[in-house]
Amino acid sequence: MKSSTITAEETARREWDSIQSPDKVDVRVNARWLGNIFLPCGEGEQASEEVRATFGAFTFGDNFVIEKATMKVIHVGDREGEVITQEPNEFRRLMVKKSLLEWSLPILIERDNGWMTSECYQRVGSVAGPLMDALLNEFHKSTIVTEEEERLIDRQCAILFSEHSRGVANACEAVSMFCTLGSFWEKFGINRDNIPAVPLREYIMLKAMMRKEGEALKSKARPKNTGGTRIAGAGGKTRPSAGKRIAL
Amino acid sequence: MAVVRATGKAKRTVAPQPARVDEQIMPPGNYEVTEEHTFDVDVYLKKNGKRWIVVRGEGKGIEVEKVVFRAWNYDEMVDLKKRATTYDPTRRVHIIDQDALNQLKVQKLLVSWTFGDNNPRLKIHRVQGVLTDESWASFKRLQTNIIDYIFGKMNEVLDYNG
Repeated sequence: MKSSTITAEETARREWDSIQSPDKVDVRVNARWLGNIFLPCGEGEQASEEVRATFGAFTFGDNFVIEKATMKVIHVGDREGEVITQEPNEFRRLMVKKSLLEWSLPILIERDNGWMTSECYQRVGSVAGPLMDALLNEFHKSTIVTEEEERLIDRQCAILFSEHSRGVANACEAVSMFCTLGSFWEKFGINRDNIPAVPLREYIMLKAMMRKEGEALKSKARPKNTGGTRIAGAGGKTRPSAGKRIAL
Repeated sequence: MAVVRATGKAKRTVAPQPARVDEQIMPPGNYEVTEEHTFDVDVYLKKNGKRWIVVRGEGKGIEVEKVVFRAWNYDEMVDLKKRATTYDPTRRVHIIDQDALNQLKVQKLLVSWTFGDNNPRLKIHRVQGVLTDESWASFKRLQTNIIDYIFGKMNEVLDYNG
């Protein structure tokens, strides 16, 4: 029981760190010594150390700059066509130089003007390739939307934006973020940076109020029933229309 | 895709920095990969007719050959993978040519082997830390099953963490 409590607390601490500093991504990789080579652990292997690294969140700007830097033109066929693409290996190397802020290895990270210095990279680049690759793989997970997530977004959006939508149960991260941030920014000017500081009770109340407001607006916007007109007789009772009977 | 071109601003000249003495005299620290970080691939071979077959371990009539590789550091890994990466314009994906990468790994990371001790045609030579093309040709003279075994064991460490 104790170990599960610690795990839950550790998980909570990590989540808190990510909320407090959304501009940083912490990754951890279990590693072990193979002779004198320090390598990440495979599945089921006993770890001797845990390597921790902190990367700066990979921003749209980072991606734009690195894509531009690693762009290359490939000639297709007999120089008839050209394809512009990125060199994926160089892209990952530049990710290290741009985003690696600190780590638990005893190699000091020195940065200048937002990038790792070249002297520093000479030493950082000398760690075992598989170890750095494993750290980058973990970091890379924070920069992508998986196919499964995309499918979930598609499914939930089809429900969310349908004509008679009443919201989505178990909203995925994208839907939750879109709805929460969108409505809080629109109403109260609260954005991604300061929403974690809103007291929970206030957050719940505001969220409930916004839900009620949304429901009210929807019911107002719903077109009234314009079905067949029924004529009320004496006492407000309706009667069948007096249509002509046609002999069959 | 948006293509951004550099504006014609004048480049700022940066004064050359003097070489850092501490970096030059500081030995590689823990976790840094150097020439000393090597691993062995032991190949146990048994003659079966005219062919040599790879067996699991030592035993009667089994010869042992040793191939020594060094670990690659991250920078070398990226450089070699870049050389072995091609682009498929039809499928719009980058593909690492594993055969080309294996050749690059051998030429860059194979330190020594014992196959040349009894067969001068399998002697290998390194120039400036890299296996010569002639030595690569010698490597290719080995039986395919032996080459496959060496590649498998080499990649277990280099790509699959040992």
